[in-house]
Amino acid sequence: MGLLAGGNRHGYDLKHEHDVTFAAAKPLAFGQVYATIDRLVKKGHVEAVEVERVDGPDRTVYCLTDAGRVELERWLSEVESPVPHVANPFAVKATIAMLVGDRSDATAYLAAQRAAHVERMRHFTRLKTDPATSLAELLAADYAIAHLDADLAWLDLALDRVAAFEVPRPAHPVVST
Amino acid sequence: MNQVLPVPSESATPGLDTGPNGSVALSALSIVYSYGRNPALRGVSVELRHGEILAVTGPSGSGKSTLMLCLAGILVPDVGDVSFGGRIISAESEAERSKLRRSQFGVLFQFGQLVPELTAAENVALPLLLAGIKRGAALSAASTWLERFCVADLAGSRPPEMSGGQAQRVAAARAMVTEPTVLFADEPTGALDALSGEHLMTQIVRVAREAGTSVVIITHDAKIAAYAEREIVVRDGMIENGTGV
Amino acid sequence: MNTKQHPDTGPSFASTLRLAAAGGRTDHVRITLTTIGSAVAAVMLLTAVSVGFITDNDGPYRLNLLAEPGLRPGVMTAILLLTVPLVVFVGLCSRVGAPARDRRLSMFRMAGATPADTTRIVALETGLAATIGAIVGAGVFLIGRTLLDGTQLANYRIVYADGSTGNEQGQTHLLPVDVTIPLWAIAATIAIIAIGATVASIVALRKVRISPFAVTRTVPTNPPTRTAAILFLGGTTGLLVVGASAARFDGQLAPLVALSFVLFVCCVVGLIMGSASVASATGRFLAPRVSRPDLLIAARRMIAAPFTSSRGSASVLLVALIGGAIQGTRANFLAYTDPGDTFYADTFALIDSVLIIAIALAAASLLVTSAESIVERRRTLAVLAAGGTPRTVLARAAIAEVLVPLIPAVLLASTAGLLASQAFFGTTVSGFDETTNRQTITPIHIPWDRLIILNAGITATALAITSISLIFLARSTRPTELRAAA
Repeated sequence: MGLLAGGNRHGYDLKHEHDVTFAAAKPLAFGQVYATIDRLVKKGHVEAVEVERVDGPDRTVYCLTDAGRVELERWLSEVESPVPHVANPFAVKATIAMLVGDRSDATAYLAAQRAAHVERMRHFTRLKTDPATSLAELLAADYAIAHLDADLAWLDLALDRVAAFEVPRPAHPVVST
Repeated sequence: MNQVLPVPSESATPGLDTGPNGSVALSALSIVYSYGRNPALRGVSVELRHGEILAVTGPSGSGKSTLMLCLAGILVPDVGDVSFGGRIISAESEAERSKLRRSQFGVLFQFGQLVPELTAAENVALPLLLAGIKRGAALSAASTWLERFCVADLAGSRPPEMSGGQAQRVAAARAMVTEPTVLFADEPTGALDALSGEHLMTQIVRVAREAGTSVVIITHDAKIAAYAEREIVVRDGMIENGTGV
Repeated sequence: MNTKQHPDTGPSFASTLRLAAAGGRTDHVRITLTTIGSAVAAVMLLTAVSVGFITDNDGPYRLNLLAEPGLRPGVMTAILLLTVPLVVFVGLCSRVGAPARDRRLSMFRMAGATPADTTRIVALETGLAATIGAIVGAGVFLIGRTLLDGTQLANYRIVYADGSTGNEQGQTHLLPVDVTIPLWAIAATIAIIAIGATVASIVALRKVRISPFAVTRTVPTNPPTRTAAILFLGGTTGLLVVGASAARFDGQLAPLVALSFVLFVCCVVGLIMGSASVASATGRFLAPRVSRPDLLIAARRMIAAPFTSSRGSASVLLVALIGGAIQGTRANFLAYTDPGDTFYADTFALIDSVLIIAIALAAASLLVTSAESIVERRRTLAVLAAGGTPRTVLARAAIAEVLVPLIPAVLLASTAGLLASQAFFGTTVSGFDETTNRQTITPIHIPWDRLIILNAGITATALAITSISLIFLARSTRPTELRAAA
């Protein structure tokens, strides 16, 4: 709906525009686009305006209705609730490394993961310093860096915890939440 | 996820004594330093190459600032040598080591290094004036560097009139005015907000790359360390990840 | 950029000058005080010099001190001695605004200044200020002399070629304003002041270690008690003994004179060293015994910083010492002469007025130390004030801190001075009573009235001056001072 707010589009253009604007996210599949459009038409947020014929099959152009605009505003003003479950694949791997191997295996994994994170952070930082980077890319880079930073802080702490862990491996695997 | 790092190019400014990139500019061998009975460094060895940007990270109190001070010749290690340009600077007199700061080394701290009674231009020209360069030439070099850090319009202002970010940029200009071989920066963005800090780091990296200057950044913030190409982690007075050399 | 090729020759004179001149208001105060102090020193020294250049063609002079060639060295010595409180004053002034300047110097060090460079900057500031001050002082002296030049009809003493003395009448000068002082002597005086001040500033810097980070001051907190006490007590007792037994030796024997002088020096040194110990000891005595908040704060301060409390008072004590000696000498001289002979009386009246100037100088030193002490502690004082301590309590504490150790010390000092004069000149005067045709020995009575006035005057001046320094207290206890760097 946000993309339609910028002007009337048809399906193909919507997918294209989404992929360009949200370069960091996964590209949209066409099926997904049309399914979403159908849902929105049923809810009354979007309506078909005209049918174009440009050397090929008919292409329907859609636009945002007034009801749709209201719904869009409401969604924009809403706060995203922090997700209660935070996926932490790193913790899982570290724990399993300790179960399967020993402390030094876990440490080796965490150190390697840390190095990879640092390298990724350097990549995004270089992106930030490049004057050609667009605003959307900058915002995405900042977001990635902030999360990588948070992960790095956890990795450092995990390395400390693993190093200090005295009791041999617990009976049940500790799966982090 | 592996990135191919761009190889730092040859120094752009002719006549600059930076040596071929890749060779060692500054090194420390097994240095030990204690504040009274408190051991800050317990045997640290580091090598810094020409044109390299190195980050020294670690928790606070780990000794990273002390390491920088020893490398810059401000502190003399109790044990071990610091070598630079074929000299063992840790064995030199206070006067000789002080002279390094007005020719080959530039230092940038978190705060408190601009003289409040001098103008920004005079502050930046200070190392040159101390080295004996005439006022006119020194001030002209100063204005060039103020421009490189985008604070040329502050040349006549005094530090109390500036914001934190502006003052840090003036301080960075001062650190670079002697076209040093090595620039030392200790938590340069510590007193700045995220955006000002980013601007400062971007400028420092760009300017250093252009001049072929090596940079040593001391920081506890991973986001700032990410501006460097290489990182060493100091913990409890020792290097942790063994990548000092 | 061609700045890279330039060999490192150290800062040029112009650059050093610029760095020395970089300063705020307190720095300008310090420079002004140095200049004024040097000017006053120039006037005093040139006065002494002019006495030294009195030839037979000059004069005649009303004052006996100037008329008799034998007395002139004494006059010159006295003037030079009185230069001491002035030097102390100028020395104290050099610490005005020093913390900020030292911080600035440490910033220069971080930017690449060598320790020698920072010494040069300080020396240049003091040297220039002192030179300008000395030249101005010399100018004031020379111009003032010609303005004061005038004669008056009076009696004067003259020494004839055969050595006898007599009185004559004629046009006399009061002060040696007609003496021609050769140019080299004037130049030498200016040079001595300028060089002396510069050297003193360099020496003072030795106490302060200016590293690129911070300024650390080697402040001794334990004053040398025993040596000082021994010196002082030994000196005074010795003088007492010499004075009491001088009568037996009937007049001055050279070794006795030398001994008296040595004992006097012991007293002086002991006094100056001891002033800090006295402050510290007094503080330690009072602290566990007083419950009044102002005395408690004062006592703690005396223990914590005895040298600051006593630095200004050292010159006050020196003046008390000399004052006591002068009163004793005066009593001695007046016992010798007829009541009708006013020469000595006039001379001592002049000396008294000079003494008052010396007291003023010493008081000025006291003002500088009290003010500096208050400003130095402004954060602690601001915390106390913000926490609810009334300003009056803080004010009384500041005054007590200076006065409590000072009063007993002043009494001791003037007594020692008196004893010194007695040792030097004897406690009795032998004379010839013409009516009974016998040798008489009259004891010189101690001029209690003058001594009381001396001591009371010094104490009152000290009290007044310390009260003046309290204006800094109001400034220092503002809440904004809570953020000031310690």
